[in-house]
Amino acid sequence: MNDALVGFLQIFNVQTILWIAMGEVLGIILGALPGLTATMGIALMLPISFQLSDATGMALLLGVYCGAVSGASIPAILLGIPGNPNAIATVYDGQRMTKRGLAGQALGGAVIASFIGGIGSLLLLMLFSPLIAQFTLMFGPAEKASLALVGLTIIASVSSRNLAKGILTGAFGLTISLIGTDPFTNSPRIPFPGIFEKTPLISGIHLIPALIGLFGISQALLDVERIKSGNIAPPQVKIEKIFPSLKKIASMWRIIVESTGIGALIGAIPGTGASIAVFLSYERAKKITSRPGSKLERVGSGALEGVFAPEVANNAVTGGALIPALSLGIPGDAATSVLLGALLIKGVVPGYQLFSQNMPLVYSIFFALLISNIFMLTFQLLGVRMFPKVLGIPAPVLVPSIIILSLIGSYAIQGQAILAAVFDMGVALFLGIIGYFLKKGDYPIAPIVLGLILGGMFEENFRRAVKLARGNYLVFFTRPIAVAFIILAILSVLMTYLRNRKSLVQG
Amino acid sequence: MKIKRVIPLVFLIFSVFYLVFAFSMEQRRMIGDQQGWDPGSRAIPLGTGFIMLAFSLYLTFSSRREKNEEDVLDRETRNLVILSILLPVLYITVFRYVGFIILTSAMLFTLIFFYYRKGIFLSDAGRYLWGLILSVLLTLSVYTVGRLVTRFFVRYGKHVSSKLLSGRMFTSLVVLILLAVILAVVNMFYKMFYKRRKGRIGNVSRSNTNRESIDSTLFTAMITATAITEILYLVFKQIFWVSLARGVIFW
Repeated sequence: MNDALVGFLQIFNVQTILWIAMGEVLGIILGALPGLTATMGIALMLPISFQLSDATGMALLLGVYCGAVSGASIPAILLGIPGNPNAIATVYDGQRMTKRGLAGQALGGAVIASFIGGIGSLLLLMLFSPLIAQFTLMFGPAEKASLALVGLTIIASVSSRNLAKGILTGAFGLTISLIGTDPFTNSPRIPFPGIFEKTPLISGIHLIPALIGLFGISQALLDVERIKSGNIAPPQVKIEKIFPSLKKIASMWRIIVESTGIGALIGAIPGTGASIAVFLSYERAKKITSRPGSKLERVGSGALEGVFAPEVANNAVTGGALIPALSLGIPGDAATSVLLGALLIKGVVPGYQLFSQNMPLVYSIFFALLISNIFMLTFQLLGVRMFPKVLGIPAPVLVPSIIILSLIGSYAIQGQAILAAVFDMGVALFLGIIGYFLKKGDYPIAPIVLGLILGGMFEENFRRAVKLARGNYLVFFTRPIAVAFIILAILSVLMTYLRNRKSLVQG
Repeated sequence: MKIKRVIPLVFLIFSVFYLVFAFSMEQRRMIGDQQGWDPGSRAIPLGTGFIMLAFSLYLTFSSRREKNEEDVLDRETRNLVILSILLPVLYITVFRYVGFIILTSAMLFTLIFFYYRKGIFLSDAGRYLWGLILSVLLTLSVYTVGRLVTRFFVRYGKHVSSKLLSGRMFTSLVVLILLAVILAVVNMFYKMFYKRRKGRIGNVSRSNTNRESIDSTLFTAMITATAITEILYLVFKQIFWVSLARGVIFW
């Protein structure tokens, strides 16, 4: 109880509430601008969160996360362009509702749906994450190493249509994580140690500049390509009635419950992400509304039900994705991988240790998520009439701002040591350029990040497990939990391989 | 060569070099491991190196069969992308020597100007240079005013023993309001100047319209670059005390 009170006080103070509000507004704007993702928004805010206390910093990032996920529905509804992949399924009925003159209801409905999904998944997060964290007590080095392997393989298999590309970029991420010094002997692990030993390279590649480069700069460079095609003119939409009736919302109870479940469950599976959840929930809603005798409007015809299902699901993913991130240290999606990075940078180790030694921080994360959802509901409903203007921010101003914010953000992490800080800017730019070309070549970025985050955990636990087993490499097959994880890793690779093969045969 | 074919090839070369590096690495075992049960510091680098080699080899060959639906960039867009890569490289290289304020303003101005022009054209060079100088000067003026105001409030706050007046948040807020006022005044003068000029010229010819469009772009880029530079300075330096390089600025 005392922990909950401390967590409550860490969040319910003027400074933290203002930071959440700022993060929320920024998140909504980022989410509403096509091409900018929640992950990028969180990555750009990392340097600022780094300067704040653990709880306030995480609250700011959660504000950006919630805002960006729900903000993506704005261009999906008004322009028919999803702000990011989370809102792909919202386009179908949202855009049709706008054409029918129901843009206000679609936007209002999307916000309410987002709120319901966010709160539902928060409850699930509060219920399940401590239980799973308790389970991690049974983990030794062998289990931890195989868990890291699961995280890597699942992300590699799900984040790309081509399995080989996912594994290749995952391995590349691992190699980047190995730069620096050996974790046990401290011996240098950099090329030409005689030359580079006295440079910042010896302390390895820091996570924040890497994340900012891979998600921020690479996306900004891609956006440069769209500059010539001009900006999308903000639509002249008349927004009248915003709130759908309570009766209407109550009649959709089944869609809401199922979409929350789908979103939270898909979110909790590492590497899956919201884009799968929104399609699954949309398809479920389609089936529910097309049943004979159903009083609901048919999904696909410009119905509020078609906006509700994906919007509940994509916000349910936020809480769901945090379940494995907080309890196992394995992020549910790319955005939570950055959130996880933020925790690690602050020296907070997810898992049982977090739940047993730093419970106030866990509570503060729960409270921050609650406040973020409340702010998201408030700001989005208040700002419905302003959204068309937000969409009018010109790309020639936005893209340079992102590039410079990425560079200065990377610099700020070690801002007191100028040489190291400039090196971090270089890392962000270098990885940003690599990310840009990889994205152009249809290579996934998320496995690189996972490789960077999980690389250390994998190596340390792998070596420790083998050493404890007196050099026996088969130790991973003698422990049931480790075997289960290895089977899961193999299955994820196999399933993706078979699915890709099937889609190739079907043409 | 198409990008989808180049990437696996680059990975292939990288993994070969990485493997050479991993093999040449000194094999060290953890402290206290006399029996040699620890796989050693080379184990994971070698493992990842081989995985990369195998998959990049596979992708090098399989990409030959892939249909290449390459989106070829036009010359202007390609130039903009190259500028967006080279300019940050230059920014990072000279950051310590020139300093945050001048460089950030110059880079933002350059990018915004050429993005608005949708390409890099030689005919814009003269006006671009003028705009660049004016933009840096405007940013320096705003910065100087901001510094003076901040110092005044810090001293005055200490004099009257007010933590609020000398606080980071308060001084930043005052400078932010001042920035808005200065930019609004500059905007007003710009509009007045153009009204007067239009009145003198009379009917607008095509060349005048084009010049007006470049001038308007220059002005937007200048104002935006100044505003963003000063806001970043306030957030990172004044509020969070990040040591942004001062470079040639000594005040």
